Amino acid sequence: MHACKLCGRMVSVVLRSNRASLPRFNVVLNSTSRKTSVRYYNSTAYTSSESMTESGTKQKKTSINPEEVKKFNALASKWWDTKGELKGLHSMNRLRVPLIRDTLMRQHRVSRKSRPLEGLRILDVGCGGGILSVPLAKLGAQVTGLDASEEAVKAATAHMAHDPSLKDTLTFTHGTVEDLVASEVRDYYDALVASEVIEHVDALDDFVGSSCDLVKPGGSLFFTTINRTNQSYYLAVIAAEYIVGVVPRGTHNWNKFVSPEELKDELRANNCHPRLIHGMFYNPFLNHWNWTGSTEMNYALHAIKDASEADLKKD
Amino acid sequence: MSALFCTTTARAFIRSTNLRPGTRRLAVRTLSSSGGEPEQTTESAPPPPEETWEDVPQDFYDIIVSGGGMVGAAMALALGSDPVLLGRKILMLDGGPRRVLTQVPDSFSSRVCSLTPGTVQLLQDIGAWDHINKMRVRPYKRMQVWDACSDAMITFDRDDLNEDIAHIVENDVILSGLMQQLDGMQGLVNVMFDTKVKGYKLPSKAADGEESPWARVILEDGRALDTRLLIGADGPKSLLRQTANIRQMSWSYSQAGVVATLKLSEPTVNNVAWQRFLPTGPIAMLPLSETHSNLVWSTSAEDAEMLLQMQAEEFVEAVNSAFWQDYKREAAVDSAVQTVQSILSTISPGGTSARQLPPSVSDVDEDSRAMFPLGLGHSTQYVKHRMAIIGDAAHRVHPMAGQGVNLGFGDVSCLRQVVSDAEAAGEDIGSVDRLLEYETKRQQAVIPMMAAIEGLHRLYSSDNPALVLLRSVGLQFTNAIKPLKNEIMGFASK
Repeated sequence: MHACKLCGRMVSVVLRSNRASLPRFNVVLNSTSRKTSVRYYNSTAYTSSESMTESGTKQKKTSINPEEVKKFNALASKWWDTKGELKGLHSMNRLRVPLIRDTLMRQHRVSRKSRPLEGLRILDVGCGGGILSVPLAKLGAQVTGLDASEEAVKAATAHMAHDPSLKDTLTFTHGTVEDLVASEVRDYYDALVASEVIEHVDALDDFVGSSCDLVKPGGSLFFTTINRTNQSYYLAVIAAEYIVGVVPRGTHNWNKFVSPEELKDELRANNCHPRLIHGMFYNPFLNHWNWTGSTEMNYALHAIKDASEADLKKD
Repeated sequence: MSALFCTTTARAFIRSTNLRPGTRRLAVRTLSSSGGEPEQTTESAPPPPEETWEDVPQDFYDIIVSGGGMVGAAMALALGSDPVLLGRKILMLDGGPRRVLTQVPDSFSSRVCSLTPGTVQLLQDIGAWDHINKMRVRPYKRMQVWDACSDAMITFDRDDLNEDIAHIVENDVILSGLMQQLDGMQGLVNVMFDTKVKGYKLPSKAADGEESPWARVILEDGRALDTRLLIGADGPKSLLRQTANIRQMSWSYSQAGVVATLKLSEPTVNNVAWQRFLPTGPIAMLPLSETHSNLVWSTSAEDAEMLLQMQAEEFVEAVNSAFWQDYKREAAVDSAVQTVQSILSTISPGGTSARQLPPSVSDVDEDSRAMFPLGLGHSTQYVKHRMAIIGDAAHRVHPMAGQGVNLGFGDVSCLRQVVSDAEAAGEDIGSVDRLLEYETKRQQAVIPMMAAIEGLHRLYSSDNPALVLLRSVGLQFTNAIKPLKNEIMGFASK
C-alpha cells in the first residue's frame, strides 16, 4: 500500500497502462466521493452500448456508438499489428507461449496435442490488447484477460469478437489483481501470467501478494520482466527508447525494474516457490527472442504456490 | 449411387455444424466490487438486429482446401489426421463428383505418377497408402537414362536393387485411395463434392475490425464460407492465385507430352524405368506390370499430333525406334566417350553398371493415347494473408523427371507442419507471418528442382556435337561417382 498523491488515502497497486504509446487510462481515486467508483465496477457485464462517465455513473445508450466502435477497432489493429510498435510482444509469444503450455502440460500430466490447456483457468494480468491471452485461449484454456486500461480491454474485446472459437474461452475484464482479491476471488486460477507487467507496478509486494492469493494451491505463476541492471538501463531504456527507438519513449522507468532476487523473495513471502528462472534475449533487428543463460536483461520465472499450507488450512 | 449418398451425408453433416446465426457484439465485462467469482461467459443479452457490425458468415471453418485433386485431397487428409488439429473444422471443396474406383479396371490408365519414397511416406502417414497398395502399384528398382546422340548413360538404383526407387501408380488409383481414406475421416474432414466455387474474397492484412478478417469462399449456389486459412489446390489455372494477384512466371515449350499404355513383346521382370534423351525431347517407359508399361513422350506439338493420329502399328514402331534407333552421331564424340569409358572401367572395374536394353513394345492399348501441352510455371508467391497455394497452383514442371506431383505432395507435408506448429503455439494459423515459413521452405526445394529440370531439358534438346560431348562425359563421370549419384537420387526422391 502507498499513499495516493491526490488525497493522501492509502491505495493499493496502481497498474498503469503499460504500453505508453496507447491512450492511457490511469486508475486514480475519486478524491471527493471517496468511493472506488472510478474503477468502473459494475455487477454485470456491459457492452459498448453502455458508456461510462468519469464519475462512474452509467449512461445507457440505445445503440452502439459507431465512433466508439471505430476507435476501438483502430486501437485493436494497432495492438495486433505484428510488425508494428508492439512487434516485440508478438514475437515474444514464441518463447512465453511454449513455456506456459509445456509447464502446465507437465504439471497437469496432459499428453493430448489438441487444445492441451482445456479445463485450466488462466488469468492474464496486464493483458493489454490480448496478445498473450488469445493464444492461451486458443490452446483451450479458460482465459481471463485483466487490464487496468479500459481502452485496452475494449480493444482486446473488439479484436476477439470476430473469432467464434474464442467465444466461450476468453473474457477480458477491466480491473486489477487487487480488485479481484477484493471481490473475494481466491484460490481460483490454475495459473496466473503477468508478462511484462511488474516493471510497471508501483507496489511489487501488493501485486505479488494479490497474485498469489488468486492462484489455487499447487497452481502456477508465470512472470516475464526486465532485470534492474546496468545492462538493462543502457539497452532497454537508453538504446531501445532513445537510440534505436523500438520502444516508445517513456515506456520504461528503470527504477521500477525488478531483479529476480526481489521477485523470488516476494513470492517466497507468499508461500510461492520459484521453480524455474530463465534469461531471455531480444534481437530487435531480427525481432526474435532467444532463451539465454543470462538473466541480466529479460527473464522469465515460473513459481508454484505451496499446496501444503492450504491443506493445513483445510485440516 | 454410393457417391450420391456420400455427398448427401456430407452436406447433411456440414449443415448440422453450421454456426448459429447471430452477431457478436463488443462486450466488455467489469468486475463486481461487491464480490462473487468472475463468470467465464459473457452476458448474452439478445442483440437488436440493427446493431450488427460485422457480417456473419453462413459457415465458418478453420481451414478450407479448395480443390479435391490428388494434392488437395492429400492436404485435407494430412490436416485431418494431425493430432494437434483435432477438433478443428476442416473442409475440402471439390467441383467434381467423388471419384472412387469400385474395382480396379483390367486395363491401365495412361495417366500415371512416379511416386518417390518421400511421397509414399506421406501417403502412409495419412493412411491412404494401404488403400492404394491394395489396388495397383508397381515399384521399380532401377532407372536407366541414356543419350540418343552418344553411348553415355547413367543408372540409378538403391542398395544394389534391394530398395525401390519409386512406385508407378495410376492417378485414378491414387485419387481413389485418398477418397476412400476421406470416407473414414467423417467428422474430422468435411467434404463437399460437386460444389463449384464462384469466387474468393481475401481480407487485407490490416483489417481494422470493420471488415471481416476471414478469407471467404463464395459458392455458385450463393452460399458463403468463411475460414481462417484458405488453401488453393485448384490446379495450374488457380482461381485463388488469380484472385490474390499472385504473378506466375510461365513459359511453354511449344512441346506436348504423349502418354499411352504399352504392351510389351514378352513378359519381363519389368522393374526398370527407362528414359532416353532424344534431341526432340525425352521419352520414358515406366513399368506397370510384367506385361505393360506406360509411355511418357515429350516432343514437338506437331509430332505429338502426328503420334496421336497414327495407326496402332505405326505408333508402336515409332516408340520402338525412339528407344532403339541411332541418331546423328559424331565420330569424335563417340571415340571420346569410349575413351572415357575405358579409363573409368580401369579405375573402378565394375563401378559402373552394365547397360541394359529396354523391352520392345508389341502393342498399344486402345484409347489409351492422349496428349497434353507442356508448360512450366512458377508463382512468385505461395502465400498471402489467410491463403496458401499448393501443387500445380503454385508450380508446374516438365514431366520428364516425374517430379510434378511429388513437389505437390512435398507442399502438403510442409504446409501441414507449418499449420500444426502455429496451432500448437496458439497462433493464428492464417497469419502470413507463419505461412511465409511454408513459402520459404518450399521455394528452396522447388526452385532448384525446376532449375535442374529446365537445365536438363535445354542440355538435351540439342544435337550440337560440342554440347553432346560435354553432356556425355558429364553423365559418364556422374555415373561413376556413387556418392554423387546417391546425392542426386536423394534430391529427386524427397
